Amino acid sequence: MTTAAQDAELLARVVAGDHEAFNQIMRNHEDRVFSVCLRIMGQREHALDATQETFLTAFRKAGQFRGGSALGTWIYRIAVNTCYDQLRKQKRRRSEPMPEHMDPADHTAEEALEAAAMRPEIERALSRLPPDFRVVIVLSDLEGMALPDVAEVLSVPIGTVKSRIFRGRRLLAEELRNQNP
Amino acid sequence: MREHELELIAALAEGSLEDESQARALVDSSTEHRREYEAQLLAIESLRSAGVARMSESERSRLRRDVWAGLESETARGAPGVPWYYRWAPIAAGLLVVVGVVTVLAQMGGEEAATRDLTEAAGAPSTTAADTAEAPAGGESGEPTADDGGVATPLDARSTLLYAGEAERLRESGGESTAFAAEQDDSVANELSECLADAGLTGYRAVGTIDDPASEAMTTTSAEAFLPIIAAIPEGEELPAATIAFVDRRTCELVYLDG
Repeated sequence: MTTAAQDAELLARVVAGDHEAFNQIMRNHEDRVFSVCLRIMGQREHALDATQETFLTAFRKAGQFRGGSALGTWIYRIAVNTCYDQLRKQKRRRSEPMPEHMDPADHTAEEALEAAAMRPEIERALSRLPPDFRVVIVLSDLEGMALPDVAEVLSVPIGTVKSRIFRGRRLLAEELRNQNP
Repeated sequence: MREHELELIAALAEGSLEDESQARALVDSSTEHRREYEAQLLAIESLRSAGVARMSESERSRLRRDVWAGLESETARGAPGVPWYYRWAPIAAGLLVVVGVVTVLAQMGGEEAATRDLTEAAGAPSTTAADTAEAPAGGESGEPTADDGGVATPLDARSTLLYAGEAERLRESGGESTAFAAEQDDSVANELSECLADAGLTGYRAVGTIDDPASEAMTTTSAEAFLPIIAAIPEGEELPAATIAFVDRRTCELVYLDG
């Protein structure tokens, strides 16, 4: 885990054109960003696209990071916003319904073991939640983020985060019960 | 159910209370409270057993490769955090020099010589904007393409700055800041599609129109000459990486190609 000072130094090096510094930032955060994106988007291909776009945006905006929040929080905010944008575009394109389970189409049998995935029934139930509830459940209950950090990522009050978590869990429970009547 | 009751029940389900007696009494006090507790508990326990979401090594390699491919084009456009007008200033300066040279030549030797020198300086002497737009991805023919970021019809420096600025704004906003989202209104979307076709932009789709300049470089006078325009990108591509084509909505002519 890097300190705030280390993060600030890494970003300063990125702005100065140090590609190895950006490599380091990616190594530090790519797993969690992918995890967040996969749990929000529900499909691996979309999650990989969102993860890629998150880091490109982070590079583009590196000069705008002022250190008011932790670098991880800043990157996760970009990731969540990127996922929201992609969900909106998917909705406008009236894309195909979510598959019953996550798509392992690109995986060999060996890679399927490496590429850990969520239990399908939970993935299904989560995908049916409205995005606002899904995002807070992902950040808080799945990623283990503290409520103040979730509030900062989403730029909403803590009370709003709590309310969305409680209602999101209630909806998730209903979806799970509907799958197993 | 009151908010503080819900919080207490959720905390009981999370297992985060030191003293659970008050929360348990609340759960036992009514069917509604018990149902809420069971729902919270089911969700929490299910999520705890949800499993890990992790990239495979091939996905990780692909992610890094794709990010670096994107970064290379970002680097070519300019260092991160640099305002767009810093990157375009040298090009604008060069174009101003060209315009100045043309003006002097026109005064010295006549219109024909000036036109020849301008088109030679722009490096795109003979192709039309339509020809450029119909080959957005190719470059092997040597003619100006989307990758060159060029439009055959010579632009003055100010127009170049204005269009470049608008393209930058669109990339940064992901297309969300345009005055209108084409996908929301079929009749307008059809009108825009016809205009794009007239401009020779087959295989492009409108992402919106721009009627209100946000660029600080634009004055009211230049905005009136500049707008309204249709912003379009190739089908199958997405902002911010896609080529952006600007088409004059009044004349349905391609006026600028970015990317």
